Amino acid sequence: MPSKIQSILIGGLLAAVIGVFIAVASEVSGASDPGNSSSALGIVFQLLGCMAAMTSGLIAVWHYTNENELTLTGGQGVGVGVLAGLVYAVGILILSYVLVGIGLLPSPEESFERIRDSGAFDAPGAEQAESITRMMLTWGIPIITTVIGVIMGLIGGAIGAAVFKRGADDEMSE
Amino acid sequence: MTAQINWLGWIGAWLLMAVLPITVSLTPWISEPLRYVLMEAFHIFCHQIPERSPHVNGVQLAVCDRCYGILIGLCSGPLMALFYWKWIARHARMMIIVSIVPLVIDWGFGIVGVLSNTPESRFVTGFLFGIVAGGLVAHGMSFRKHEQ
Repeated sequence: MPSKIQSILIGGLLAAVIGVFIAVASEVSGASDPGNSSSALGIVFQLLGCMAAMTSGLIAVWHYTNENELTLTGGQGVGVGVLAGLVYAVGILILSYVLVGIGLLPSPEESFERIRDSGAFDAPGAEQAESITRMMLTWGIPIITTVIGVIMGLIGGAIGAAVFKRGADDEMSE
Repeated sequence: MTAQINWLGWIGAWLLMAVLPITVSLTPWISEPLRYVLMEAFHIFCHQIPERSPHVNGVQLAVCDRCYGILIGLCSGPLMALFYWKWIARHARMMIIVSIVPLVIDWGFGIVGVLSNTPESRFVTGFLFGIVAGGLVAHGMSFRKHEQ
């Protein structure tokens, strides 16, 4: 069986670019603004945001089956999807850091200040909550992003294996 | 032909599919700072518009109605796969298409202004897609066909 690495990288990185593009477009256009929820642009981004994360596995499986003219089983699709999802998560984290650097997305420190401004730390004894929140913003979000990326990639891979069939199917054809 | 279920794979698939709906449902029961962190973490995957998101005890969950429907569906998919594994194997492509059509119609009609969708329609159409996707994941991770 041919190597899947190229397809995994293409799927993961392309999905990361799509995901970041949607996030930035949604932010810049104001579509993610609660007051703008009825705009057509807002409604477009409502579905795209949910689906973008799944595209890593889908693109990876589509590329692999298309390039090699073969069909992946559901299990193989899941495997390709997991790895593509991991690449997606790493890609989206790197791209996010770049966009934070150029000011298109808020930094963890800005997010922390926003939480502080909301009055969330006004209760007595909130110092511990502050330090936990600061740690979660720095480390928790990348970890949660990676977990979501892998699970969504896995789902995309399973869907891709069911949808993109080329050539013989060893396991699922009847 | 019979199917052999890898129960470890099935439980793994179900646990993986359950992680996200449980995580996004935590917001009403955690402290306010952690709630902000959770909302921030899911922001890149969902718009989280308050008017279009489910609330529990007045607290918004971390994703919108449609995403919540998808996630609950994903969690239910492995259960469906147990009973309909043969059907999933035979009609996987058709199931995906059939499950995504209502979702796209509900979403598309909202854009063109033909029909405004409701929280229920968003949840149900998301759930339909999610249950099929979850079923495919469980099928891929746990079912092995073998000839008799």
